[in-house]
Amino acid sequence: MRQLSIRTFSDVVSSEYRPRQSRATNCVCLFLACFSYFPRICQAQNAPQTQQIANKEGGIRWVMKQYPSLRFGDVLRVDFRARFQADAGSFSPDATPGEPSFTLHRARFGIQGTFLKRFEYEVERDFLDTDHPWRDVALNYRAHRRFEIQGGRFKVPFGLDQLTRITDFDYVFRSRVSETVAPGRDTGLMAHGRFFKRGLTYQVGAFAHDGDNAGTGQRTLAARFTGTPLHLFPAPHRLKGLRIGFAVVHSELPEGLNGLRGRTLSRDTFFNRVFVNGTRLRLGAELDWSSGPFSVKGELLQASDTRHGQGVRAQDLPNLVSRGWYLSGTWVVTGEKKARGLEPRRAFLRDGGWGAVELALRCEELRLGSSSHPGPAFVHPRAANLLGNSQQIWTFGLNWYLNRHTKIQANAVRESLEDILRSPVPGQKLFWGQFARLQLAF
Amino acid sequence: MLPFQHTPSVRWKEGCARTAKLPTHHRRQFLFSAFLLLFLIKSGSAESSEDLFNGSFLEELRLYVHPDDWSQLRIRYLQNNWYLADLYWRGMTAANVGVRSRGSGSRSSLKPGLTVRFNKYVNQQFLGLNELVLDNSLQDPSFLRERLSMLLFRRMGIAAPREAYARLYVNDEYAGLYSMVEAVDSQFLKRNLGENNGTLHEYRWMEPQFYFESHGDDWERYAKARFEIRTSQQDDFGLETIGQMVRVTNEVLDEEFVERVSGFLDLKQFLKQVAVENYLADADGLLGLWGMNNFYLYRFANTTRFQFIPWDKDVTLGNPGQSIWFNTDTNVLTRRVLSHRELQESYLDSLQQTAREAEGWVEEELERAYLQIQTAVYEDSRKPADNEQFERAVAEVRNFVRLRGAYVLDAIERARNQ
Repeated sequence: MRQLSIRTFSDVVSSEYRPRQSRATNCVCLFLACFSYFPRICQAQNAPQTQQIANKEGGIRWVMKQYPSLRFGDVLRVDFRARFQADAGSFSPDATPGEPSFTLHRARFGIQGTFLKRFEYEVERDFLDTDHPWRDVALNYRAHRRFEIQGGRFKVPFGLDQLTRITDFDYVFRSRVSETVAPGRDTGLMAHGRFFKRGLTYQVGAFAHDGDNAGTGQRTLAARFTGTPLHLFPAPHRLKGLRIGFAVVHSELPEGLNGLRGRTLSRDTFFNRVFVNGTRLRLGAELDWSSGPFSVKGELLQASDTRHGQGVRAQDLPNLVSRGWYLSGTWVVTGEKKARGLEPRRAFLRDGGWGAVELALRCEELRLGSSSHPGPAFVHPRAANLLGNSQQIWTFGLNWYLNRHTKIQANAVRESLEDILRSPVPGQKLFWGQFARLQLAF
Repeated sequence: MLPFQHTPSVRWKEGCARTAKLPTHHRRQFLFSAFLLLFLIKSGSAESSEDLFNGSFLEELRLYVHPDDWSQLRIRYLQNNWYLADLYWRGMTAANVGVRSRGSGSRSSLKPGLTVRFNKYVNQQFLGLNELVLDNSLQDPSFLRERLSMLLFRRMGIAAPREAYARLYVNDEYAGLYSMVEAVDSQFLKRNLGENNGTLHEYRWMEPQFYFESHGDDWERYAKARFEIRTSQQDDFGLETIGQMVRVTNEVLDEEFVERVSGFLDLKQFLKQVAVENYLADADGLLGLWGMNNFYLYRFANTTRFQFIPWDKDVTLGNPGQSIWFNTDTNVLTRRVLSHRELQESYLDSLQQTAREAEGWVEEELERAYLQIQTAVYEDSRKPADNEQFERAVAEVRNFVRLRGAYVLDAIERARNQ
């Protein structure tokens, strides 16, 4: 699953940020138990130790490395994966006072592995998400590293932020532009591969709809290319790892109130859906760089929804354009390398270590409005000139990696909205939020 | 270009040269004519709300709503959902207006009554209006009752909405004959009462029926839903003052009644309105069969004085023999007011004056309106009644107009002789 583990079988958070208090209380105990004991179990049975259930030569083996794994010789491998995240947080001012501040946010269990060497699979379910409980359910066939075929339900290849596993994420929340513009998961078929030792990668696929995030588009075609062009030129060694990428997604858009909508971190709507008809075209550009303890990521994403025949006289209206960007930088204060997942040199409460500590900063902006501005701008789903609205967010993060499996994140968020009349608290432009997350993943 | 054709600039220069050669008095005449022509062109294009409600012509309104929205409005005609629309009248456009289904008993899916709000989405007015009501005349198969009633109110000097007929086309399809009704709003108040910074309440009919009886301490809960505030500021003082007026009307002693209640109402003005309603045999007004209904109540700014404003008079001109004292005893306010000899006399005077003003004039207006709308009604396939029923309803109104005056004058004489 090497190929899949970087991007294609990655994870996403598109579920509502809503309280699950009743389950949470019960699950917290389980969570804490796992938090306390699982790392020890795994570390105690560190590679290359394996526990054999049957004989070594091709029988069934139970392996406890980074995660539990069951291996049937070379024929089949089943890795057991689990992810838990518990969040606490609040907004100031709070548009929805009274909601519980501590929730068990994700409880995902899944299996992944290989069979007959060339086939890879993954099945994962979130037991707290009632809207989209099945996350990745996909099968990949690797004919060659340059050409693989993947089918099932997985992420539409668009948006670096969206394609990053939530457990590998530097912040509690994804960027709003990623949540809004990127499609997320869908059912489809995709060809992908890589050349020049990942110097060039491609993903080209067709999907039934345009992802869980938007939830409104129909048949979708997607393509994404990434590469490390500085490998081809004489450049400082540290910069050679700079990866840039471009992606395009084209979806059919049924007539109706199906435009993208803008939502705040608190899931309040600051730009309502508008009437659209025709196609949705997403364009994305991304950069990703890391060197030693430093990393920088950024994206510029845009979605353009056509509005054929949506005017009061059934005339075409200017497109709805949702556009945004983010730029994020991180620094592992304790000096560990950021690339390929951060693992503390000395785990907390083991080897006398304190784990790894990372600082992160992200700024981002998202704006929704008309592509052109005929007549007066106002708020109505059929307005020719949609009165635009935008949000700007600064996120300050502190990540504490206790060990390979456990992470604690703290974020301070400053969110501001352009139109105070469409703010979660009318008249209020600026919101602060503080969030903490406890994560256990294997 | 043809060989003998001049360019416009050459012709303009030649024209100026010829004008300059004219004798002085001819030049003056020429200039005067030119200015007059310019004035007429200008005044012709600058329409106003007076032109819209002029009533001399059958107007034509064109409303453009997205077909999906129009079908949604008709499906959800019981809801007050707003839809975006453009309105055209005499070559003028009100773009980006709000339109919704309206009415209470007159709501219809086939021929919805409509409210057009010009400033719903964009800060704008159309002909100085914020809102225009398009009445579907669902409860008046004659299409005449509402218009004739409002005309009579205004002729009697009572502030009442202006109205005119219009053929309404929705997305270029004939949607039927509608009455354009001036909305009772801040523009209406300014034009009719000279101010609009007081508080306007729209009376919402609901069970139990209201006869101006006191509800004591329970008033606030009782009144909040009925006397809906229509001005932008939320004014609890207005509701409180209505409560005081009702309480005083119910509780004050006879000797103090006129003085105390006059602090809230111009009683003679109020009786004039009651007189016109009773002349019109209004079955659903201040003294309606189902309690008070169909009125606005305006509280003048910084005072406790109120004025009733009539609304929705489509259940009038029915029974020409309806008593001139119809329901005056049932309603606490009219019962107590009319128990005073002087005020009773004032009521009879107003009634007499109404009958005299109406005599002949209402008949003329009726025939004029009938001729104006007959074809449009016949072509209106969405009207609630067929053409035969329309003609029968018109005949009923004609009958009322012919008989009502004599009946009322006779009843007044009998009342005075008692």
